[in-house]
Amino acid sequence: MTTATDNPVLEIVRRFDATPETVFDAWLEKEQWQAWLGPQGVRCEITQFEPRVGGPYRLIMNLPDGRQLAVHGEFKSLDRPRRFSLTWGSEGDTLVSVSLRAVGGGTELTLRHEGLARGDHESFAGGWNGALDKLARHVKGETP
Amino acid sequence: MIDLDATFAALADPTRRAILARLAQGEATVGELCAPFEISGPAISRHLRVLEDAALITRERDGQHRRCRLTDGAMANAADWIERQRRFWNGSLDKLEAHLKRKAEQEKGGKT
Repeated sequence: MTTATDNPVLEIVRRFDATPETVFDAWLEKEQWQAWLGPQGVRCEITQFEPRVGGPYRLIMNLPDGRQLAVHGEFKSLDRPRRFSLTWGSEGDTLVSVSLRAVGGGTELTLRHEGLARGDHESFAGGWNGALDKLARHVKGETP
Repeated sequence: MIDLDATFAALADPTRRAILARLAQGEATVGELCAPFEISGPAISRHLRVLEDAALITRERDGQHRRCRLTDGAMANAADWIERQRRFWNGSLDKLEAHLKRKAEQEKGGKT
């Protein structure tokens, strides 16, 4: 499937050996999210967590070098076990969308992280970010 | 300090992205940039100003002409952002995978 919106700044697809419900809950239950969020060496502490549409969350990332990074945002959509999205505020206002699809007894997860300008989440759906990706590759000297 | 919001806002417009794509191939005068677009010189100038304010391009006077050039700073900043998020989420999803495995084993262990 190819549409203009399938062209985000960052898209990661991963498969997990678990049902979509289990994967969904691993994101939307505080204790579970806290247990794995952040790369190796980063310890995450969730200080506010209200998983409903419009509900806020707040967390602190404890980085290996002792620095702390605050992240906050709100849940924009929740559709268990198919998809959810949340704003991710650490460097500007960005949007993380996750969709889950049952495949052969497991789950295919697609994560999109879009770096959007303030207040323009909807109007940007036209795929500007694909162009950004291309330009970024241009600048890095790769073939777009 | 480059403002990432300004970068993304500047990139939100198709004409400005087309201008950047053109400049990615090499510097150009304002006149050369105008040629492919069916819009007026003043309109192009406004777009160039937004790009300049976002530190995506520089404009300098060269005799009669003003030459525009892509700066690496802002685009590199956006590319860095993508790369940082990629590392963050790939690392997180590795840990999610391990977390789900542990959980499945615990549940299996609990049943038997």
